[in-house]
Amino acid sequence: MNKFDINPLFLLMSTIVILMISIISLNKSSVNKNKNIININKNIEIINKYNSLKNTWINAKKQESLVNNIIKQQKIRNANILINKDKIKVIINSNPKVLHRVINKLLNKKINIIKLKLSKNQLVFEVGLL
Amino acid sequence: MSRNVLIQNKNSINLFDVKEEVNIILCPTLYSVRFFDIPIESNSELKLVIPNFFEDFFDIEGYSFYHIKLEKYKYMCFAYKQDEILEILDKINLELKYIKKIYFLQNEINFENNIIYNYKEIKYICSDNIIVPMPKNININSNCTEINTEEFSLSKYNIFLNKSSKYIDNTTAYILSFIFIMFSLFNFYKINANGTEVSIYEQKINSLKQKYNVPSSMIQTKSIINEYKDIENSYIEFLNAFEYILKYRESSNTLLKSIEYKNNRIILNMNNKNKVNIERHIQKKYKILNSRAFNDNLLIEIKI
Repeated sequence: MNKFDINPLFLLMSTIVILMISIISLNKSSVNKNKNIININKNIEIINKYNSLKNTWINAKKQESLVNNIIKQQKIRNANILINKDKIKVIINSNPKVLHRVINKLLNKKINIIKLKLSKNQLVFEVGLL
Repeated sequence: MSRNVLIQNKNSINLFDVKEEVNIILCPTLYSVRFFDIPIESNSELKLVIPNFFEDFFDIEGYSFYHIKLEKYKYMCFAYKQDEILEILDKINLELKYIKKIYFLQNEINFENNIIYNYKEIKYICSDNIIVPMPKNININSNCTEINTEEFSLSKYNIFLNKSSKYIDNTTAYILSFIFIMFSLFNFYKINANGTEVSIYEQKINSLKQKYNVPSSMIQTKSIINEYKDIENSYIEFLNAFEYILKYRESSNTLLKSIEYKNNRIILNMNNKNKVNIERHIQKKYKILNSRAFNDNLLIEIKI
């Protein structure tokens, strides 16, 4: 009852107002959190996709190693490999049987072929490096 | 030391203009007191029972109650009207914030039975240990003892006035306020936790971006992904077209002299054995851009 006392009804009404504010804020915050998490998960998905596509198609070392592996596997000695900044050019002169095997291997790997020319005894292809 | 102010009734008071803390002592005109033998000890149960005891004497509507334990199962019980006291306090212009405590005169002075006391022309008498006001029309010949408010040594028995509401008492209001504050604090804690959770996710995104060297803007990232997808799609289209042509060559036993792929176009050099059949087969799936036959060669350019 001294001057430091707060009117209990005033206190009660104030706490009700604070409670209402906190409930509304919590509700908004939860909605925002859910939206943000959905958005963030989408972004994580995009980043993973970006990384996967980049590793598959843009990784120059990987593309080069795939091409080299095919040539080594087929034991081709006279393959002419020219590596530029933006592409790998391969010229293989061999008999149709070998070339057929190389083509099969080439088409079964994820290689960014930008040009390809197959004739009876020659296979020329270019692999793009972004 | 705070000043003691004795309040008797609506008419016997002066306007109060001091702004200092005071103790209020209520005169018996403002309350009713009885002794009861109640075989209960719990305070909460007593609070429920005491009004029923007063009901035998008057209509208890609007009354509040207070009790003092005298001995086991014996209580001194007070009944008073808060509104009436508040009205008087309002009339004398005394704000609640200046009131330190409120006492009953019954507890604040050592009365002797059958002695008459006087305070500002109102007489009181102690009968059976209860102080009661005397009717005005009774002539008193004997000497009266004057009540001096400054001589009171105040007891520990005092009441609080609830000016707030008739429907909710102070204790309930405080308890509810405490509960609401606790709920609010919990809610604010959850709001903070939500913010922290989102920032943890954002940190995770940023570390992934750094790890995979992803552009800072997601729009830019999406556009690069589309570019990569175009590469992937053209690879798939190229594979399909190649497979389609090679299968035909095998089934029709047509000699494929050379095949060339560039800029999403395939140029075939085939044996010009069955031009119509070859073209028909290709046109089922692809658009022929150019078709030329010379000697035994058939050159077909296909858009894939």
